[in-house]
Amino acid sequence: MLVVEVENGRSLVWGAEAVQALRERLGVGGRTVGALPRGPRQNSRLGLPLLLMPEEARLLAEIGAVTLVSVPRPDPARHGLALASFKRQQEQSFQEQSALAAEARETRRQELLEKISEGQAAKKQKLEQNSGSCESQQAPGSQVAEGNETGDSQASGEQEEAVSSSPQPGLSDGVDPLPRSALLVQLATARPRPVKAKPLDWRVQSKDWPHAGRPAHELRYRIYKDLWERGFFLSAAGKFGGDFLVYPGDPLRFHAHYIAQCWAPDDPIPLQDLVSAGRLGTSVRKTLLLCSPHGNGMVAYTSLQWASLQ
Amino acid sequence: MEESGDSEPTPGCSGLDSGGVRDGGGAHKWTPADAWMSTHPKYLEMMELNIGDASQVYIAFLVYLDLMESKSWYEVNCVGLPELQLICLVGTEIEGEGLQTVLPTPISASLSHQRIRDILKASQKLRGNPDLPMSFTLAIVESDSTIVYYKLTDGFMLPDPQNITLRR
Repeated sequence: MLVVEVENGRSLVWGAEAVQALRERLGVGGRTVGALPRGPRQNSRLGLPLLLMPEEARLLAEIGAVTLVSVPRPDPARHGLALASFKRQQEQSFQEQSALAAEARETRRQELLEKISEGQAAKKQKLEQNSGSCESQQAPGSQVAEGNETGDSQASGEQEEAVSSSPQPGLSDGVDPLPRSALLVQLATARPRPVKAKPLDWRVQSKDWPHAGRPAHELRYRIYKDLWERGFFLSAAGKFGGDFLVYPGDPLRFHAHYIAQCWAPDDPIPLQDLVSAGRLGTSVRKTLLLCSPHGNGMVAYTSLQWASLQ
Repeated sequence: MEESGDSEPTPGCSGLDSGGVRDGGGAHKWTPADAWMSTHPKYLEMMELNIGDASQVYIAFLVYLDLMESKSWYEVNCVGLPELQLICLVGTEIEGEGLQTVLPTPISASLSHQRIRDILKASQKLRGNPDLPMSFTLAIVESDSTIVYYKLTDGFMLPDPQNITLRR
C-alpha cells in the first residue's frame, strides 16, 4: 500500500516508486514540488515530493490504492532534546573525522619522509655554500635558494611546514587536522527512523484535511472522479484559469484537449467569463468544457468552442 | 486623462448604450421606433413573439442582420421559446445544409449550466434531427453591436485539429 502524507490540506508522496506507480498504473500525475538537491535555486525542473490535488488524494484513498496519513508533528517540548541529540551526533562525527584526518595526515607524512629529508639536506648544503661565498655574491645566492624553496614546496605540500618547524616527528601536534568548516555532513533523503503515522479519514474534516464537506471540493471531486473513470489524465489548470486540464493520456506524451471548469448546475456563469475562457481556450487550441454534476450521479459536459462564422 | 473622461458625460452614450443592452433586460429607454428597423418585417415578427422586452428583440434583430447581411446566411427564421423566455434564430448557413440554432444574448447576461442544458434540448427540437449531437451557437452582443459567436455542444468536442503543428 502506498502512503500519502497529508499536512494542512496538502497531500505529498515522497517515494519515487510510489510516484511512478501512481502515474503509470493509476493515471494520477500530481505535481513535483521539491527543489532538486543540485539545483535549489530554479523551478523549471522540480523533484520529490509529489503534491497531489485534494481530489487526486481522495480518489486514491477511496479506491483503496493509498493510505492517507497525518504527518507526525514534532513535539515543541522535545525540540531541545532533538537539538541536543543532533549536536551530540555532530560532535561525535567531528571527533571521528578528526581522528581519521590526523591518521591520513600522518600516513602521508611517512610516505613523503624521504623527500623531506632530501630537501632538508639540499637546503643545508645550499646554506653552507652561501655562507662560503656570501661576501662576493650575496644577492644571486639568495635568489637561488628562494627558487629552490618554491620548487620544493610544489613537489610536496607538506614540506614547507616540515622545513619551517623543527625536524622532529611530532610536528603535526600544533596543527588542527580538520577545520570545522570541512566537516562532512550527511543529508538524509529518507526518514532515518520510521515514525508512527496516524491514518487520516478523508470523510471527516480535520486540520490536515479541511476539504471534507466543502462545496467547492465536493463539486470538483465528482467531476474529477467522473473524468478519471472515463480514462482521462487530469492535472491542475490554474495556468489556464480552469479547474482541470484534461489529457487523453500521459501529459508527457499528449497535449491537453480540454480545459474543464466545474460549475454547480444552477450557478450563474457570467457571459464575460465564458467569452474570456472560450477565447483563451481557442488560442491555446483547447476546448472549454463546462462540467456540472446531475442529480442522478451523472455529470453533464458541454463543450464551448469559438464559432468561426465567415 | 482617463479620470476626466470618466467623469464627463460621454457624447454618443445617449443612443445605444442607454438602451436595454447595457441594462441587461431592465426597463429600456430607447426604442428603434423612429428608425427604419422598426418597420422591418423581421423586427415586427420578433416583436409579435411577445417574448422579453424590446432590448431582447433589438439584440436578436442585430444578430439576424449580422447573419443575413454580414455572414450571408441562406435563411434565418426567428422562433420564440416561451418556456425559456428566449428568442432563438434558426437558420441555414448554406443552402441544403442542416439547421443551426443561434441564441442572441447581451454580454451582461449570465447563464447557468442548467439553463445551457435546457437550451441545448430546446435547440435539438427546433433543428428536428435527433441523431445530431445537441448544440447551439451563442451570439454574444456587445453594446457597440459587435457580436462574438461561440458554439456549445453536448459532450466532448475535440479541439480543431487543423491548426495543431506537430513538433519535430
